[in-house]
Amino acid sequence: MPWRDQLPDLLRFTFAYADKKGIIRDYHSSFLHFTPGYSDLRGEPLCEAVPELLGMESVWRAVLKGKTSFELPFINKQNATFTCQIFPAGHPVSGLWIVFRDVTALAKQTEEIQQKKNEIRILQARLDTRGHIAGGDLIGESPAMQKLKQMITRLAQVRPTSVLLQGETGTGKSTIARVIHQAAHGSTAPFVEINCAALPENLLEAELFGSVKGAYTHAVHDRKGLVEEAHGGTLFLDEISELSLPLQTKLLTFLETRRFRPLGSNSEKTVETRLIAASNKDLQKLTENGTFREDLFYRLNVVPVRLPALRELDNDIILLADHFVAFFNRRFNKSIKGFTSGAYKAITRYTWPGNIRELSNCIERAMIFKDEGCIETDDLVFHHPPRAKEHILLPENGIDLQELEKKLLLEALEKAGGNKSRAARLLNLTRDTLRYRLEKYNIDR
Amino acid sequence: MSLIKKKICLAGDIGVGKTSLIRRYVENLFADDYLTTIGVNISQKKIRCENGQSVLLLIWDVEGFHPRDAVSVNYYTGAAGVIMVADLTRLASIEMIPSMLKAIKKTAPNAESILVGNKTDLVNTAHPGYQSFLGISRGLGLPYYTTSAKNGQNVEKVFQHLTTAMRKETC
Repeated sequence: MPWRDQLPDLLRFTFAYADKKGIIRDYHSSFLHFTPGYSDLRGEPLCEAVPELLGMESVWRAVLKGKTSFELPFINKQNATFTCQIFPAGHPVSGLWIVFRDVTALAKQTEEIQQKKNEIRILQARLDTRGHIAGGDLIGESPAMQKLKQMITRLAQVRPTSVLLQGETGTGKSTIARVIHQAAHGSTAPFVEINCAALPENLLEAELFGSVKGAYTHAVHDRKGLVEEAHGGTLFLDEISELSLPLQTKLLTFLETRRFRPLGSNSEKTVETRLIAASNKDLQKLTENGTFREDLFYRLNVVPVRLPALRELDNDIILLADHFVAFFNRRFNKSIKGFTSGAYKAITRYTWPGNIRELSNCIERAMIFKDEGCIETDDLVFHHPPRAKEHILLPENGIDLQELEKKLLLEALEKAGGNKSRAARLLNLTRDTLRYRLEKYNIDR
Repeated sequence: MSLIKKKICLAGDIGVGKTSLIRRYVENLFADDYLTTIGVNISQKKIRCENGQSVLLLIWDVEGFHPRDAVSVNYYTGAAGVIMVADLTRLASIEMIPSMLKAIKKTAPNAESILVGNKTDLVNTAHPGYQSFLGISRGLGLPYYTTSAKNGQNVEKVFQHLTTAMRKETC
């Protein structure tokens, strides 16, 4: 075999020559590997014979006209990788060279590097999306929960501002604060949490704003306060209603100026932090009786977020209950299968005054004493027995029964956030009966 | 009747499930691992149109789309159909659809296009990725499907839809 014919095999490439119309006129025998079903290629249209070049007629014209080459970088074929290049041939240009070159070794290396890079990128993008859907970790699909998730998503996208979380005890204020923080800052920024009710007033100031050496008897070193620790992240003040009036003043100054002075210090410090405050008391009412500064309330209340009570979350109770079973299964290394239908019914009927915390505690307790199977109604301990039948005394001068009924209907709707099914449950009515009564009183809610 | 050949390309960001969709369609298989596709893998599937005409689909599984890489756009040259795939769990992969469409349309102006939001088994309809995909698809006015290569949901339908769209000139 002449050396010229051996060269392609030695250098791991093959080629064909096509005329201006894309008809193959000559080729190296190894080019047949790329043209399945053909034994002779002379006279065959290139785009028909080579599957990789299907529909590429426009490419020939461009290469012939522009005298530039065209490349398909990596084509994987039977455990090997080839690059395909098309060059103008002849001078003046009278045809095309089509060259397939084996680049398997290069492709393997590129693939290994790319694989790692891509895995990192995908994971990063998923984390970013979780940032976009800040509430992604929150369980629940009820309208109230969807609304809350949307709100958190929006909050995470804006620059630090004050957020006031209000809701009954056990509604997950601390969890929501963490979710907002995580979505806005990620896991590397500091999240500093303090329960204002847990520390005496004299310690709280030093705890919040820090102190310098000698500021008080045992202050033997300069000490950073939590406000400073939260720089670049989130400061979460739980039970803010318990803050004393002097500290409220100091906090207000800090919120207005983003500057503060550590205890005993003459100089001010500046920090950038997201402040999230929470309370299970109605702060507006506290401002009316003078125990909470009105100006601080308005400063904190830039974005008020009301956390729904568990009884407002419809079927989310079931989702949460299932979540807690899975959670405690992991913690206690058990395989409890879930709940019996009776237990589910009991869970949905109970009003959960202690909200999610109470639900969690109830399931944790049940699972401590359960080793296998499903949790049954008897395994669940409810701290507040089912509602007793109210005993209403009829006043001496009587009542307007219809007016009372209308008032109760409106109150139930109000408490149920406009949800008719929930309102019906509060009144121990069917949804249809409720609807009938709403129509009767011309209540359109 | 002679065999008609049509080139279909799957385009999309890395890891959106292009390879898995093709494997599901061609071999009815699914693997949960992720292996980067470098360059292009070409699969074939022969289908028969209602009029009896056989069509050989050459399905190009193109590596993750690189908007700034002029050479990788070459893979789409000559495509009769393009399936643009996004991962419903990753907003970035959805948000790049319009720019991807623009770049590919330059290379394959006559290709029929269809949008696919993959990994629907991982999200519910309230997921922002799902909502974003619907928004972008409706905005572009192109046919779209949400699929799962894992459980096969809508995979066959996507290829059927595209083949029907290409059929005007095919069959």
